[in-house]
Amino acid sequence: MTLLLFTVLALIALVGAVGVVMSRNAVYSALFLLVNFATIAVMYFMLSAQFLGVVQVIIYAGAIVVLFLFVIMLIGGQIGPVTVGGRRYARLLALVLGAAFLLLVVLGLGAALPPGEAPLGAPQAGSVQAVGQELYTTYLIPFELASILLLVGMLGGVVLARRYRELGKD
Amino acid sequence: MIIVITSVIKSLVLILLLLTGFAYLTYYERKLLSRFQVRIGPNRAGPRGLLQPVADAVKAIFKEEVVPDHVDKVVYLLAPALSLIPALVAFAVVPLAPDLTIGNFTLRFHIADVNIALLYILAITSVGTYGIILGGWSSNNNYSLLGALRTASQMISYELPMGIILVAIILTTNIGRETGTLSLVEIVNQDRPWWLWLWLWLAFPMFFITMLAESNRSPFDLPETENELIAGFQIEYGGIKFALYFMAEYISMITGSAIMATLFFGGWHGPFATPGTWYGPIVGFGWLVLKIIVLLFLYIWVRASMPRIRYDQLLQFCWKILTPLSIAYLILTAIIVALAAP
Amino acid sequence: MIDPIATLREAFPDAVLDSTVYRDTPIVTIKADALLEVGRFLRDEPGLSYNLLSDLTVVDRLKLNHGQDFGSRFHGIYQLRSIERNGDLLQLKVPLPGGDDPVAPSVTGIWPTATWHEREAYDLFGVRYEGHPDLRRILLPPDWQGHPLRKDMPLGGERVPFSVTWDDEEFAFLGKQIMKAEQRPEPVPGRMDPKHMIVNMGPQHPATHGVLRLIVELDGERVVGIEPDIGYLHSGFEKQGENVRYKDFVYYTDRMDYVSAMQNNLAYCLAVEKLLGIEAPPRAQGIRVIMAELQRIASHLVWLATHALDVGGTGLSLLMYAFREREEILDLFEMVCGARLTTSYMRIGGVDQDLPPAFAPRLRELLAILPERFDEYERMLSRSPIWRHRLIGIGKLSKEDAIAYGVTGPMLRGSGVKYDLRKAQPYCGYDQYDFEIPCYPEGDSYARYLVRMGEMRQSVRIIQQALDNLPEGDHIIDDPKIAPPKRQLLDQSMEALIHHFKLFTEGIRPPVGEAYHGIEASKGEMGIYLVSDGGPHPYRCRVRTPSFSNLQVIELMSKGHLFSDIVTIIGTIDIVLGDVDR
Repeated sequence: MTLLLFTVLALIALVGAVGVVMSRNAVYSALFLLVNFATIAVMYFMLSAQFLGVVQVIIYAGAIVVLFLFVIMLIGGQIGPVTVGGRRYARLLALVLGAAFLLLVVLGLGAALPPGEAPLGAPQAGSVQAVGQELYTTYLIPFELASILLLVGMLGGVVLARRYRELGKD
Repeated sequence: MIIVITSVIKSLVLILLLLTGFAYLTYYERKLLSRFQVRIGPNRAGPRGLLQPVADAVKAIFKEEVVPDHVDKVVYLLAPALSLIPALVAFAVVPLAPDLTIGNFTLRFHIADVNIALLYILAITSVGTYGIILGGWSSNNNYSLLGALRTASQMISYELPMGIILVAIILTTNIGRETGTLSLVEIVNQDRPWWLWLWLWLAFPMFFITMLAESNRSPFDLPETENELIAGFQIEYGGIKFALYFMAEYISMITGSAIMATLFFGGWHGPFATPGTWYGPIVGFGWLVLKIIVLLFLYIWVRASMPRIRYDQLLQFCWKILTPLSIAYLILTAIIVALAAP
Repeated sequence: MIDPIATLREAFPDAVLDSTVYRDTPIVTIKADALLEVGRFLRDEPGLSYNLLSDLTVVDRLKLNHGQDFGSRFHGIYQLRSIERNGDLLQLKVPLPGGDDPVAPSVTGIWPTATWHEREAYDLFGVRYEGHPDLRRILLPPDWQGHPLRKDMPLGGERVPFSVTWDDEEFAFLGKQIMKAEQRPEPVPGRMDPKHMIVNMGPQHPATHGVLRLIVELDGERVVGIEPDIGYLHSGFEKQGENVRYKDFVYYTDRMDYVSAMQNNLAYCLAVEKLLGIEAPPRAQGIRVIMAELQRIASHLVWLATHALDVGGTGLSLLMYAFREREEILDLFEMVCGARLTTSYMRIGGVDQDLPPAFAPRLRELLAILPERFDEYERMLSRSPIWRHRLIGIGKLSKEDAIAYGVTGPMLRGSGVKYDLRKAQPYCGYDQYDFEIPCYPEGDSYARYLVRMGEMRQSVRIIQQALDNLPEGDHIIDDPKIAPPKRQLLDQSMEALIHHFKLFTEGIRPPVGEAYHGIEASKGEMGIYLVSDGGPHPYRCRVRTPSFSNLQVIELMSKGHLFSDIVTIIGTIDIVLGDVDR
C-alpha cells in the first residue's frame, strides 16, 4: 500500500519536475513546479511529518510559486510559447552543469545516508510539538541565526526597493 | 475501514450542506442588500423569492458553454475548479457539533481532528489564490490580468497579519495546559477564562478584515471591481464556470465565518448544547449555524456601507497598519501568556 | 465699466472690420490674420481679461443673405467670457479665408480648450486650423465623407433601406461575417508607448457613464496617458436644430443632457427669447427657476449615486438612497408635464402649462425632507475614511488649468473659482434670490464633491424662496406671434384662431440677428448660439454643452494616478455622453 502510493506520488513528482524544464510556457513551468511541491508535501504527510508537509504547502505553494506567477505576469505573461534564444554552447554548458549537480546530489546523499534501509523516525517525530521542541532547544542558535539572516534579507529588499523608487522620481 | 467510510459519508454530507448554504447565502445577501438599499429584492421565484437560488442555478447550468478563442484552454477550464476546491476542503477541520455516542460507537462531527488544523487552514487559503490568478492569466485579457496581479499581491499580503493573529491565538491555547494545540477541536473544547475571551475579541476586528481580504469581499474586492476592471479575473467566464467562481467566493465566506465562530465565539458551544446528550449535537450545530449567519451578516453589512478601497491603499493599510498592529497584538499576547502560565 | 469695442478699435485699428452691439452682446468682426494677436490681447489686457473661451464655432454663410460676409463663406465665431468681470460676454467674428476650403489660425495656444472645439469645427465644417496640435475628426468616424454642417451637405445623405429582400447584397454575407476572436487590432495612438499596457475602456464599460471610450496607457497600474474617443452618441442635434422650426427644437434638447432636460429646455428657450428680444412673464420665470433647480438637484443626485457606485461598488446602498429622492423629483415633473425624463416643459416665452394645485404642497414636503437626506449622505460619505482616501488629492485641477480648458460649473468652483452664471449674469430673475455659491479651492475630487453637495442645499434654498414668492399671472407670454392664444379665446375670436393657425403652420420668425445665451446648467455653462435669417428655422443653431469642455481635462487630471482613480475622475467630471456628443 505505502509502496504503491509512494510510487504513484514519485511518478507525479517526476512528471512535474520534468514538466518544469520541458514546457515552453513560463506559466506552465510554474504550474508543474506547483505539482511537484504538492506531491512532495503529500510525501511528508506519508512520513508523518505533518508540520513539514503543511509548511511546504504554505511557503512553496502558497507564497513562492504565487510570486513566480506574479513576476511572470508582470514581465509579460503572454499566452503562447516563449522563444528561448538558444545558443549551442549554452545548452552544452547546461547539460554539463546539470550532470555535475546530479553527481553532487547523489554523492552527498550517499555519504549522508547510512547504507541499508533508512530508519523511519518515531511516529510523532514530525509533529508540531516535536519540531518545536527540537527547534527551540537543540537547534536554537542556528534557528535564530537563520531568522536574523532573513531579517537582513528583508531589510535589503526594502532598501533596494526604496532606492529604485527614489531614482524613478528624478 | 469504518473510518474511511464514515469520512466519505461525512464529506459528502458536508459538501451538500455547503452547497445549499452557498445557494441560500446568495439569497440572504440579495435580500439583506435590498433591505439596506430600500429595495425589495428577489420575490418572484417561489414564496418570498425562496426559489431564486434554484432558478439561478438552473440558469447557470443551462447556459451555453462559451470558451473564447483567445484563451489558454487547459488553464482556463481548470482555474474555476482550483478556486472552488480549497474553499470546500478548508471546512474539513472545523468541528460542527459535540460528539454523539451511541452504544460504544462515537460519532464525531468533524472530518479531521488533526493537530495542525490552523496551519492547514493557512495552507489551504494560500492555495486558494491560484484559481483566481490562473483564471485571470489564462483569459488573456488586460482587465483579467490586472485582476490577477491584484489578487496575487493582495492575498499574499493579507495572509501575513492573518497568520500572525492565528499565532497569537495558538499561544493562548497554552493557558491552563501543558502544551498548546493547533487543533480546532481542542481549541473549541478548551475552557477559557473571561479575560481571555475579552482579549481574543480585541483581535476579532483585525482578523475579520483579513478574512474580508482573503475572500475578496467588499471593500477589498479589488480582483473583480466591477467598476474599473468590469469583473476582473472572471471577465471571460460565463455560465457554470462563472458560477464556480461565485461558489468559491461565497463558500470561502461561509468557511471564514465558521473559522471565526470557532476561534472567537466558541464554535458550537451555547446553552443546551451539552455534550453526551442526544440533543447536544443538534443544538450545538444550531448554535454554530446561528453564529455563522450573524458573521455573514457582518460581511454583507460592510458591503452595503463601505466604499471600495484603492489597490495601493489596500496594500498600505495591510503593511503599515494591520501588520504592525497584529505584531503588537502577538507580543502582548505572548506577555500575557507568559504571566498567566503556571 | 470698460468698453471692449472701443478698446479693441483703439488697440487694433486695422484688424477690426466691424463692430456692433446686438441684444446687449458686443460683437466684433476681426481679420483672421490678426486673430492670435487680438486673442492674446483680449485675454491678457488687465481691464478685459477674457480668459474663458466659452464656445468656438463656425457659421457657413452659403445660404445666408443678410449681413456682411467680408468675402468669406465661413465665419469663425468665438464666445469669450471674462471670469473676473462677472462672465462679461464678447463675441468675436472672424471671416475665414480660403473660400470653400477655409483655413484659420488655431487659438489652442491662447485658450487650450479650443483643442477639442477646433477639432469639432474641423469635423463638422472642414475648417483647417493651422497650428493645431492634433487636428482629427472628433465626433464622426474617421472614414466619414464630407462635413455635415456645411449648408451644401444634403439632408438624409445616407441611403436608408426602407424595405429589405433576401436578394439585397448585404445578405450575401449573412452568416459569414462572424469574426474570429483575433480581430484586427486597432492601432495604438501614436503618442503612446506600445511597451506599456494599453487598456481599452469602453465604449461599453460600466464606469464610463455611457458610450465614452478611453484608450488608457498604463505603466503597471499607473496612468501614463489617456486618449478619449467620443462621438458614439453623436446625433447631429445642431443640424437637426437648423432644419426644424424654433419651437420644435425644444423637444430635441431634452435628449442632450438627458439627466437635466429642464435646463436644456431653459437654455434653448432663453436663447430664442434673447433673439426675439422678449422676456417671459414673472410667474413663468419663477416656475422656470423652480424647475431648473429641481433638475439641478436631480442631476446632482444622479451624479452622487453613480459617483458612489464608481468608487464604492454595487453593494453600496447610497446609490439607491439618492435615486429614491430623485424619484420624488421626477414625480413632481410628471405632475407638471406628464414626463419624467424628457420633460419638454419650457416653451419659448414661458412654460407649457401652469403648476397644478397639488404641486406646491408636494414640493414643500420634499423640501422639508431633502436637507435631512443630504445630511444622511454626508454622514455616509464625508465621515468614511475610505471615501476621503479615494477622493482627496485625486484628479487635481488647478485654477489656471480649469479656466484655460474652459471648464465650467461645479468643476470650476471645485478649483476655487467663484463663478456661477446665475450670479454673474442673472437670468430668470436669479438676482432676486438669496443663495451662496459653494466654492472650494483644493481642486480635487473631494472639493468637487463638497461643491455639488453644497449646491444641492443651495438649490433647496432657492426653490423655497421661489415657491414662497411665486407671483400670480400668466405662465406664458401673451403674444400671439410667439405663444399660442388661450384655449377659450379660440372659440370666441377669429383673430385668435388665425394666430393659432399661423403659429402652428409657419412658426415663430425672429428678426434677423444672432444671439448667444449661456445658463448655469447642472454641469456647467450650457450655451445656445442662434443665427436668424428672418425665417422660421434658425439659420445656425449651435449648442455649447458643459460636458464636452469638461471632459477634455480628463487626461490632465488622470496622469500619474492609478487605474482605479480613472473611474473616480470620470465620476467627478460628471459627464453625460448625450451632452458630450450631441
